[in-house]
Amino acid sequence: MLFNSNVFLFAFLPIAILGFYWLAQGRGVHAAKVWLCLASFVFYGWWNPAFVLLLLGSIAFNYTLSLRLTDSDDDAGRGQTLLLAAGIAANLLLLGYYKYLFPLMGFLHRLGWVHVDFGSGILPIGISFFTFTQIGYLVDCRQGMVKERGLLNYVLFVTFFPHLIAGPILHHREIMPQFANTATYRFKADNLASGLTLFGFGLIKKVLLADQISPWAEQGFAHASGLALAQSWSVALAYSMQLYFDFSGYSDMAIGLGIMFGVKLPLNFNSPYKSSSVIEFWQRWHMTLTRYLTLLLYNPISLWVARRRQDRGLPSGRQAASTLLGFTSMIVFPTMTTMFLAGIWHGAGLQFIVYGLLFGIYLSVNHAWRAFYPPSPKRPDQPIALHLWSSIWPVALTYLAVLVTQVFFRANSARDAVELLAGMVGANGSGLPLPIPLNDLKYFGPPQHWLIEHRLIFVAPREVYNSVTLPLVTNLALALALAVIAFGAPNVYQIMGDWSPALTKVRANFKWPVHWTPSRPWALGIAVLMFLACQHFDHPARFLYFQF
Amino acid sequence: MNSDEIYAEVRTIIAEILDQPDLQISADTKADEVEGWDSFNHINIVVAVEAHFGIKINTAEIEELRNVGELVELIERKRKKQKAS
Repeated sequence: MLFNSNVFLFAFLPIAILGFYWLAQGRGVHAAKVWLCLASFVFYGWWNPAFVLLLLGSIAFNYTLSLRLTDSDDDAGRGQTLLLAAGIAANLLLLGYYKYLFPLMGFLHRLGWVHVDFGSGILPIGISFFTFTQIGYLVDCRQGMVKERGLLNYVLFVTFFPHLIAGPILHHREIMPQFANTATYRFKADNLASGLTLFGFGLIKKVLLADQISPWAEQGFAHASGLALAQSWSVALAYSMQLYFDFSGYSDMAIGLGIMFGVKLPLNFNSPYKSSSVIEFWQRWHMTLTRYLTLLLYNPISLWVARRRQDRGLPSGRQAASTLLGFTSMIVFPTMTTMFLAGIWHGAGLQFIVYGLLFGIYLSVNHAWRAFYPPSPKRPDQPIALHLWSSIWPVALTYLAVLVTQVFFRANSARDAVELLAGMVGANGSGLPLPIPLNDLKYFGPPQHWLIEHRLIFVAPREVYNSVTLPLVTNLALALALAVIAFGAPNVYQIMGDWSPALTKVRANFKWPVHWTPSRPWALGIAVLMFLACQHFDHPARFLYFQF
Repeated sequence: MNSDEIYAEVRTIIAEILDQPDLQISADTKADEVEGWDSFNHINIVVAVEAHFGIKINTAEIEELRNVGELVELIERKRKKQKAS
């Protein structure tokens, strides 16, 4: 079921909320938990009922395993480690089967090594997310960090519908205690107000912003080769903005839905495009994925490297990292490995490997910059122009670097991505002059002669204008308008301030003049925008991250 | 070794890894309050502590640590457990 559909918003959600609080009050917390589990399974099964069995199977397997892992006092046991390894392998095999087997077979078929064409399999929605969540839980069980072990709380932790399909990726320690706490099940009007507001903001981002620019991105990436300079930039920018507003919109909706049931979910986006370094970008983009990768990949790999160095008597710490060998083993190796795996998690295909490796290189360069050129303290007597420049160029450079990765991320193949990037550096010409109908020349006033003379515009029939100039200019303008919001506006968590229902508070180093409060004007404003968004429900578009 | 002694040794290790001999910290000090104590040095501090005290700290425990005091407590707990076994 999609959040941006009538059946979800006007049937499923109201029934789920009413049933939840009614049962919690009348029949007790246990009944409310069961209700929420059932609702989550209905939500999941709406798309393909057969996959509910898969979800149930995965939960049953992992929960049983978790009991075995926490059962024994022998926390240093080799058997337990083997059991954990087998559990992780089984989860990854399931993920691999659905996610990589068919693309791999297709690849081998194209090479002529496999004669049967397997076609493309159906990817059970959300499988990466519920698999990841549960692997994290198993690892913590093995390390003796799991305190809350109830079955119902576990099922809720995995299936709670707001996060089930595309995150945020939860950690059991922040969620299971909330489900175990009876205060969660008490109805609070403030929770509903802040939840609906956040959901509303997310819906607006998705339906009124992301979905408006998506056709241009889709069309551009479908024919990525041969695009001229202006066209290719508009396509790349359009996708970059679509991805941000789509995924952050989804995350806002998820966090908003969570608090409607009294549960606080972790923050997933914090104005990532405002980052002034790639390291900072990953601290603000898909934050729960970053946290997950750090905990389960980066830290264990770094720890392994650091322990090996310690055993060999090699130096550690900042000084060791400023030698080439130390830097390579302690920073480049863990970073590249983690980002490579993050890349292929997003999909089978060379473009995703390039996406991961590019970020691995960026992050390594960023770390090297920090290690070899520590930042010099800012001088208060700096002229304003210089101060502005020194705060703008890191953001611009970071965004440009990110934009290149996003072209790979979206392209249908690595070759398409390279073609589009070639267009962006002018390999296919500038796309000028732009066709303008004779009747419209008057809008340009006297400069029209100069524009024609310098081959920026030329006179052409209206049909040509309608198919070339008009879509390019409107979509480029739309992408730039979205960029103004992404780079310049406060995010919804800053607007909500202390009312923000996310687990993590956003640090505000600047007090925004606009603040949300549970009041009539805000309710009315958001209701109007949500009403507008609902008008687009005839052709609901899936969220981009559903494919992962 | 009591917790004060462990604390003093932990302070020396942290100062050495961060390359700040005059480092001033207390039990309540959090990593993000100390310059240079980033996720990279965090790992190095943990590994140096492991080698110094002859214990092993797992990744989930590293994540749980909130301040220097909790690190000292963890070391104490691990050492006691080791002695008992």
